[in-house]
Amino acid sequence: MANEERKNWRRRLKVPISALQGEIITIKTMAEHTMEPGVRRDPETGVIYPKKIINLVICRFNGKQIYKSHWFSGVSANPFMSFKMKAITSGLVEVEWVDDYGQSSYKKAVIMVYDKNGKKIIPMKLDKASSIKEVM
Amino acid sequence: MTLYNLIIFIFYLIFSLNVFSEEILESQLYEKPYENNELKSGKYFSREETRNMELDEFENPGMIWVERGKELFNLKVGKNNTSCSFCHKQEVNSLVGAATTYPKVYKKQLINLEQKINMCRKHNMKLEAYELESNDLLSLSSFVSYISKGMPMNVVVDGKAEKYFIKGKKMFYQRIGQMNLACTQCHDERAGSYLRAEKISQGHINGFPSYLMRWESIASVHRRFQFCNNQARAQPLEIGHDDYNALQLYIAWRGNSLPIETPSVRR
Repeated sequence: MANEERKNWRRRLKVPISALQGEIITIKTMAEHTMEPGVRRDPETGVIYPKKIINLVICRFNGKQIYKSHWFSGVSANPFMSFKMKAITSGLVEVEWVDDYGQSSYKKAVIMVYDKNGKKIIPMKLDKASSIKEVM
Repeated sequence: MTLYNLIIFIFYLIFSLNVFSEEILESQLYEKPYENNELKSGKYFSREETRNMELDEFENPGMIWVERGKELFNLKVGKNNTSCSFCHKQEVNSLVGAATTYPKVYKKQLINLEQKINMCRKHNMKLEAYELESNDLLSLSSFVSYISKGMPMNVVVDGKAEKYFIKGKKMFYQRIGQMNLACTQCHDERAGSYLRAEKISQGHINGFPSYLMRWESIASVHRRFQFCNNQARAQPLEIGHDDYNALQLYIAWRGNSLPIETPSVRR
């Protein structure tokens, strides 16, 4: 049962593929979830559906937390959320949704950031000796 | 004796009136309530926020179902290890445009898209049919409708389908329920005016299966009919009923030539 439910959890994340340095980009997320607030009843039996909501959403950029939001009952089903961030370096955007049962799910995407000359800006600092090719 | 005559006269009157009303129906059978240039899809009557939500493919929650439908379409299952895409390839036997012609008559029976998917699963794939209004079935039907997005609705109502069409038209003009309401009173005469906080649409079904915010899920046309019947305080029929199919045929014909907009978002 739990596995079947898990199969039907769909997570969507939209991050622009590329951006200019200093540009403000929008990250959009959507999670498929029933967001059961814990007050509704089954119309036939009268049994209360147990509360089950996403209560924590964390966004990390290159492993560092940049955004976090706590949710409570009252958020609608299939919640959509978007936030803005300033593009400084290329990197990996990870979003994590955590249930109040402690179950978590991830989605990730990569953004490439270019400077005005069309050069890629990568997040790590390089010595003069080692070239970009070796790192990649 | 005079009382007897009176009763016969009253019976004759009722009988003749009935015949009269049927004659009117037949002479105006293919008369559309809206001309082609007057047709307006449901999104023109919804609020701006809802409309923006529908037009943005990422913000639209119905796309969750479409994505799942695409996966199910390509998923190989069963003893024969077949999938829907095994037969319905892109070049041969393509399903693009298929959703525009439903409901249609198939083997002396009027069926809609969901029932057709179930039939195909039963007879060709030798699998169990999906439960009507289940998540998987709605995902598949919304995916099949989604791939013909933008193509005009084009249902056939003459020939074999004519008797269902007449039945559907009668249902559309039939007053039902405690409120004594017919579909035509709102969707033909009062389209565009307010019903509480919502504008009444012209009642086209080119956006179905559609995401309804009040149920927080995709809903089929029949479930929407049930809700409409409940609002008029009438006893709704069950989902997949033949009469609902007939009504769906008539309503789809009213909106013929409107582009398909699945998945639409409504409140």
